Amino acid sequence: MWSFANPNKFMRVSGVVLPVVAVVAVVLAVWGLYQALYVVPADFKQGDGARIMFVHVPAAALSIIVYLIMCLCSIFALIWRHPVASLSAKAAAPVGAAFTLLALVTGAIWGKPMWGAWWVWDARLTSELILFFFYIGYMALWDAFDDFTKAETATAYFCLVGSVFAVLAKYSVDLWDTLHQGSSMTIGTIATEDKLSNEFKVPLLVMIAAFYLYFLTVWLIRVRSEIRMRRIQAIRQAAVVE
Amino acid sequence: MIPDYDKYAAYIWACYGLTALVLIGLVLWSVARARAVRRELDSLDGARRRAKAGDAR
Repeated sequence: MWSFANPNKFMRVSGVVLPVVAVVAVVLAVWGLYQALYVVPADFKQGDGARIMFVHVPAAALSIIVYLIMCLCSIFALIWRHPVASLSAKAAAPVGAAFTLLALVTGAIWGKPMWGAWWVWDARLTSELILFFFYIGYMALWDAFDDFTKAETATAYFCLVGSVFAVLAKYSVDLWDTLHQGSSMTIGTIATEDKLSNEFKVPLLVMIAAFYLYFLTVWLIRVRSEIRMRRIQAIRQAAVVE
Repeated sequence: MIPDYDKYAAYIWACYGLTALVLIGLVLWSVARARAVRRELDSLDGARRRAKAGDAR
């Protein structure tokens, strides 16, 4: 894994992986959307409104996963000064922010017919909103510094502070008695139909996979851009010195 | 072709439509940005190579 710290190697490998990931993401998304919109039956409690689950849940899941990936990249950047690590965290932020925004908005739209309210200050919703602010703050902090090393360090620490809200967004429904429902599916219950029957679970898992591969696709595109921009900055600085 | 979701139709299509808009917009923006950065890097690399060739002469 450490060999991918070499930007040249990262560019070579990602150039091969990127189109494959993109094509698989599209295939899964098309199949998942077909299942979600045409095949899956109406829920006995929520009717067709439950179909919002197939975009809301993947967006919410990825909003937390992406932030935790950013935290991991930030740790690598702080401890090992991994050259590609901080750029990877920076590249992931806009995608994570988009997923968080989608989770919040689709959740509000789903909440109106189901709960009778667009918004409640429930633990999970509030944690997710604060997580969105951390995404925005993280991106703004990168632009606040002219010096790359200072920006890299400050944003890494900022990202780690925000990890509290990523964890809270995930576990708040287990810690407190909240309005937002608890997990319908966990690693332990993935093979059972206690909370979610297979006719809902399989398309949901496919949509989560599609969203994840979408993230990988856009993330790789953006990391490659960040590496190229660092090279542009280095060339310009060398020209100034000369 | 378009399924009938009765009273939930507006909510469902709003969610799916917004998701499509945001995710497609994000990938198009990322690709456009990547192409612009690559063009700029190729241009700078080309200028550097021409400058070095000029110095060598």
